[in-house]
Amino acid sequence: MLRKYSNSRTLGDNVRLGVLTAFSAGMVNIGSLLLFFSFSSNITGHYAILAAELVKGNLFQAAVVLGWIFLFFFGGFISNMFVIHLNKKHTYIAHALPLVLEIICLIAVGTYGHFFYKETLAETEAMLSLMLFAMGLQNGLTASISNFAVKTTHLTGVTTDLGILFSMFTRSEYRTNKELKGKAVLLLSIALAYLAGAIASGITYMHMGFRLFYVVSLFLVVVIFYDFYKLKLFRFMNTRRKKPALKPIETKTANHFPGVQLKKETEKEVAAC
Amino acid sequence: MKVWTTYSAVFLLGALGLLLLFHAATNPEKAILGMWQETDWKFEKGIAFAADIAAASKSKASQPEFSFHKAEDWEFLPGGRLRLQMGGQEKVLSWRIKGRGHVLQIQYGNNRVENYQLTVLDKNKMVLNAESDVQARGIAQLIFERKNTETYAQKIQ
Repeated sequence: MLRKYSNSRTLGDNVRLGVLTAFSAGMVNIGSLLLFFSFSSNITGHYAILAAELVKGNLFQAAVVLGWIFLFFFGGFISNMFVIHLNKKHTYIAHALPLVLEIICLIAVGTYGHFFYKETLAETEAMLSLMLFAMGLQNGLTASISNFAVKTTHLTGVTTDLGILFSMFTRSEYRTNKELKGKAVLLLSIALAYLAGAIASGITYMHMGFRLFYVVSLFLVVVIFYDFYKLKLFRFMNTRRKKPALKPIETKTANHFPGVQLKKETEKEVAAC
Repeated sequence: MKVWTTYSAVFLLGALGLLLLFHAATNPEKAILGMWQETDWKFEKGIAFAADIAAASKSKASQPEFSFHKAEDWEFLPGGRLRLQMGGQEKVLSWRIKGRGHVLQIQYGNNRVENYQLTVLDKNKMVLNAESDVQARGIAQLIFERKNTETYAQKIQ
């Protein structure tokens, strides 16, 4: 999900990343709405609110919303900074760091909310700010590494693209186009995952309150460790192959599961020594 | 190097501008403090619906989502305490402001909570919008005027 960059990513990579991060974003957005009466993952509405508050002369509310918009922007900025500056040295770390930061923000909100929150406006604004920054980080990362194919914190673009795609599918030449079909699968997966996350958040909130942010963090940990595990396994297999004593022993199943078979046979050899 | 300096300067200026805006604005948590007298309550879709709300509020079977405290004095005290006065009786509840400072939450204890949209909050006037989709088909609006309860010491400050 995180190891590959831009055009080297497969549809599967994008669907996995899109589904897990959209589910998290749906959970965060509804969590913030239920707990703080404000959305935290879609920013379009905040621009409209900013304009309305400025017209009404509510400077405090306008300043709060302006700060949230800036933090969402700053999240995207920081995410892409990691990607473009660290990508050549270590792709996985460059892509995992924004998610680590996002997890820290969400755990901070969950822990502060559960143990220390006294429901003052300053606390509410600070926690919402952290959530908007976290969503900016996530959206910046997914958009940046997928060549803008995956955006998971809001569904305006996704819904528009789906409308366009489904209208294209009324013609047979587009219905058979693999690329378009893949895009439709990706966008539908994101929309459904976001909706599922939002519903799950509503249910989780009733039982767990602020601790629902721990559940969201768990999904992001899965995103990080899925590739970490794959990288470790890949390195492990590579080092085994390089050792001269560990020659692969040909068996009937070697072609189907070369990795697994290799590991079993080499372990036998080590035990025999 | 020049790029980094430009970016840092822009971000710092933005942060400074935001701080100045906060400084110039009045925090709704402070603006709301004091005594408010409920002067009027209106319904968006006409007076016919007032009967629905009144009926729902009186009905014991259906827990009303909002209480309408006509002719009450609401005193917002620091520390999130709200003193309601009606016909010589007094009730102490809790208040909180949520969202971007646009939601007034009144907590009755035993998990009963009412949320109002703070539509107007200035020196002399406060308007609360209570949106109900259960008992009332429309938006109820509560209008308050500030009661001048300043002491002599407060006036000469």
